Amino acid sequence: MTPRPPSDFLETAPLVPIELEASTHRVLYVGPQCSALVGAPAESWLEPDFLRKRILPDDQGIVAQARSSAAAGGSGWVEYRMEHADGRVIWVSECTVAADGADGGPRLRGFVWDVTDRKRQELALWKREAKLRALLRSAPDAMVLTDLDGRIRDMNEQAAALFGYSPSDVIGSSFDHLVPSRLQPRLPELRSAFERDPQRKSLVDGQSFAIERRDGSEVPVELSMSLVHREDESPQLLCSVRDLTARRRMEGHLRTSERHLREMAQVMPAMVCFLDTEHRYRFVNEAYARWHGLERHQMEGRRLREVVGPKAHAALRASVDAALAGSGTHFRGAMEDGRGRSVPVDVSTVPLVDEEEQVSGYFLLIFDITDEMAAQEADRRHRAEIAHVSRVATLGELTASIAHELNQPLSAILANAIAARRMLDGVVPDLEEVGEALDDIASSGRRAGDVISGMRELLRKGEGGEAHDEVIDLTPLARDVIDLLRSEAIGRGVTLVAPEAPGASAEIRGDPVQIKQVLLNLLMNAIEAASRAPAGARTVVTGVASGTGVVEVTVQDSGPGLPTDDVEELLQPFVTRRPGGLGMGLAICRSIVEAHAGRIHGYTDPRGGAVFTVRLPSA
Amino acid sequence: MTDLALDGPIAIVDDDASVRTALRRLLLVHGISSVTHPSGPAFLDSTTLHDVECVILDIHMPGMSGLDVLEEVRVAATKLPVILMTGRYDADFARRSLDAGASAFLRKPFEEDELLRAIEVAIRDRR
Repeated sequence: MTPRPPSDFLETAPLVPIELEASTHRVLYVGPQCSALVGAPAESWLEPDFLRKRILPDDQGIVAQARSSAAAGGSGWVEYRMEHADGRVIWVSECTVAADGADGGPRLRGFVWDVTDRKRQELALWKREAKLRALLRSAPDAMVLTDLDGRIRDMNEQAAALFGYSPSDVIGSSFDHLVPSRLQPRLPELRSAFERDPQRKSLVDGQSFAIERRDGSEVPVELSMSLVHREDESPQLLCSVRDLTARRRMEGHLRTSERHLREMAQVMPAMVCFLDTEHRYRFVNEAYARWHGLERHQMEGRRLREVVGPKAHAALRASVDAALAGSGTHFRGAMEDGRGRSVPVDVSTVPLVDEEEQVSGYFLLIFDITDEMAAQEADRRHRAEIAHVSRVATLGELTASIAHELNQPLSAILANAIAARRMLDGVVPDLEEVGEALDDIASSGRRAGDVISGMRELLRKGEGGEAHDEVIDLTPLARDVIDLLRSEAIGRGVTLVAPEAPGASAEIRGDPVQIKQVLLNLLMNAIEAASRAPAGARTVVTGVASGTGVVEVTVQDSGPGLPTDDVEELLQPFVTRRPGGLGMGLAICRSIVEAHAGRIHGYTDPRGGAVFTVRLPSA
Repeated sequence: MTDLALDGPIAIVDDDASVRTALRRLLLVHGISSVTHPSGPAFLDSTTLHDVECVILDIHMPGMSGLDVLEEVRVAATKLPVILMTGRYDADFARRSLDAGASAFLRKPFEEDELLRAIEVAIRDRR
């Protein structure tokens, strides 16, 4: 005998029994549990519009379809959403079958029950799946989802494009068929790695792995696999297939260009080497090895100090330390070569900074600048020679004036000496007067001596053309030059105004003879220009002024002004504004002033006359 | 000592003090008194212009040269004998000096007898 369910079974089970009119779907009976389902008592369910009101409008169509199907003897199973009295939306499952009612009319009988929790889980799963699919679609690489035995479950468009198949062609078949046959045996091994450690990621690099496209061509790829756990399904493998063709090509280019660079570095006349963070040579070129008298292989791996020796190491130390700190440096100095000779060099260091901004070493570039220095030295000597010749020529022009400067004290000396002699020959010599005469002779003698030494200074060629470097006060220096030219100015009826001492220091650093030569040339030009003005209006005014970090000497004449607005032209060699002038004076002035880090500038004063200014950095 | 007999002093005009002093000293040992001036204008403005026996003028002076002074002396219509002297070597000066009416021309440095002879010539010109 079949056991009978308890009498209240139907009315207490979580399934709600329901009877509907087959054509109108009106509720004729509903179990009392229905109030727990949607928060509405059974009476409400019996109202004609109840279900239409409570079933969400979107779902009413499928509900009606399922019930009609049930009424026709088919499946009456449907899941739909209802609105609970508290406003929540619940999912219900309904299963009905056709039956005859007590009155013989067509009915639908069955059950309605709450499936909200299950539906929610399904939705979450669906969302996860959607995410995985979205991931698959949006990944830049080709992605293939397989079972643990390699059966393809899904793939993205990138994969389809890479392999040359459409997804429907290959889904369900083995991934192994997409790999060249010689590489196929490696796949089970890769897949079985997950049995030992589900967390690991299998990776095969592109050096040794490839896939085979539909057209039979092979593409080098990097293949990585990771385990994906899916709801209600056995774990799967997500295979990422990265096409390395472009990278391979790029690497090929890089290797070629690196080889070219190395070849270039080898034959470069400069000395090039690369050292790592421990100052060990990692690369040296032929020129660098030759400089140290070694073979390249004898240097690579050795440390800088060990190879260059303590002296050169001391010279390089600050630069290489800066390079390792990430800053390139550049300096010029002397370094010993492998034979112990001191050689002038131009040294640059360039740090090599990797993608993570770490310094992985530095390049050392050394140029032997012996020839350049020799050329510079020759050029400097050459300039010194020209300047000297020009000074001699200028003094030649001043012969008459210099003779005058000497003849003045000489005539005083001669007259005083004769007078003193005569006084001593007298009956009662005035010894006091004789003494004064002798004092005057000494004084005139000194004055003549000063003229001679001033000339000798200007005529001096200098030891090997070496320039002096000393502190010079420009005011007394300008006055010395003016003294030398005073007679010349008088001879031409020109009044020379010496500079007043400026308030601040007018000291510069440089070679006094060269600076005197500049002033001598400027003043000679100015005197000549002023002498062309009417008598009584011939002046040359010299000024010295000190500014911030600069001392300026100005020579202004009352002459006709510059013959051209292009002062640059006048500063060129062999361009002159002086009849019979050689045209070297201003060119030499400029060369000297620029060698003293100064500037020379000339212009015509709107009020008349020319003005030349020389600006030099203060000492 | 010389046998030059002068009625008044000789003027010495030179911008160089050492030359003025030395010449004054040299003339004095020969019994010739002198007055000195540092420039042409100073001499021309002085009251001694008509009292001196002759003037020794340096050509090479700032502002007014000895030749300019000589011209002014002639403008002032005096027959004052002028001796020009210079330390610059310029052959033209001697000719220009004598053309301008100088009695004598001296090249610095000069010997005692050159100076005395020049004064002698100048005084003779005056008389």
